[in-house]
Amino acid sequence: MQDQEIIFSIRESGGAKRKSAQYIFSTHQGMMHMIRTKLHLSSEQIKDMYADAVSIVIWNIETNKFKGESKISSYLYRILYNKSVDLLRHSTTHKNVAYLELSENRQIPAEENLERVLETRLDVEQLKSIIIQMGPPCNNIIIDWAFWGYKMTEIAERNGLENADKAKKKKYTCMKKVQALLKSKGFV
Amino acid sequence: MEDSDKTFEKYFTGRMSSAQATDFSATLEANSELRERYELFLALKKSTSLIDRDRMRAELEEVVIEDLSEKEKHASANIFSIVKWVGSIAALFLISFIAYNAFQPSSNQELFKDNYKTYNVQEARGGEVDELTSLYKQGSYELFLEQAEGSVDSPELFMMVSNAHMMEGHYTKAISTLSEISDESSLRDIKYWYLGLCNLVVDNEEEAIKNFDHLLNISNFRKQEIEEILSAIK
Repeated sequence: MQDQEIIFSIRESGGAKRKSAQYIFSTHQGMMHMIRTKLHLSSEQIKDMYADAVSIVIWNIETNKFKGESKISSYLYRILYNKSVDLLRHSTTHKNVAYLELSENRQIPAEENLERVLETRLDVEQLKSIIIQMGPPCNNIIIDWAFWGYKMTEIAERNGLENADKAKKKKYTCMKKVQALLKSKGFV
Repeated sequence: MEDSDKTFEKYFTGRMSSAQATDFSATLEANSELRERYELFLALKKSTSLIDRDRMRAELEEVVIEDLSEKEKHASANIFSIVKWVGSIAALFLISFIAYNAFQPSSNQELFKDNYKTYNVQEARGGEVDELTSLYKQGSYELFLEQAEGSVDSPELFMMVSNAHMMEGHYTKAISTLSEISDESSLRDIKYWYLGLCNLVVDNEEEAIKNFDHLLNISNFRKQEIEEILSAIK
């Protein structure tokens, strides 16, 4: 796949995003060998860093922070390398949260100075736990909508719902549940 | 709600123009309710991104990531190990070779070479013999043997002929010539010395030992050399 096609697909959302995200994830795994060898990380550490780095690349493509001025593979490598060096320098206990913070770190290349608000005061780790705890179909519907960006007709199809309207209503109910759970835990 | 989701999506993905984005950022600052909804939208984006990150991490669980430097180290260690083994084997061979040669008796040919010296003519002889002596002394052994053929009649001349054969490498002929020298001759001792050496060089050790032993019994001639040769070949 060409870089521009990948960028377009990720911004397009839905099945195209899924396919491109999987392509990035599966075709650059050799970088783990190189960087592990270079920095002497453990197998577990480099896998953590790689999953983080791919996730950052997808996020930065989606939010238009990465505009394709460099190759996706080079961009991914730099992020993976910088994150790995950072890991060696500072042993962090909250890697999952740290990776999004690192996406704006000066070490991580960003192709645009953003004026957009892309930070939230909500605890994303807690929200992640809530979504997982909700179980299907709510967790799947929320992931399909919020992360993959599937259209309601696709969400209906993927989650065994009759049609887009039913999916829309189900999503609304799920979102209400999320808000209620967040409130009950004192996060909003 | 749907409309605001679409706006959030447009803002989040950077599909707004710079001016629109700046305006919307200002609206978010001013409208706390909208800001809360946007923050939930953003938090959902981030938390579902983390869920997908965990999915990818789980997929990597089965993937084997090799530290290539470890592999290289192993390869180097293997090469080093091979070199070490080859070196050890070579060293063993060398030590064995040295030890073998140190304790191995010298070859009979070496013993001959170390001990043989051409017989020096002792006496001045008359006409014909003098001519032969001259050829012998010059080292013209082939010519000397041609000239001496049929005219050998003295122990001295037999001794010279046998030595000429030895110098030409004809040890069997030298042995038979030496055997012609009588034990009554003054050259008796040197005869047995050369008989011992000639038998040695043709690897007839039994005869060589017999001649050397006989010489030891009858004389002290070259006693030390003979004892050394006997200790080497026995």
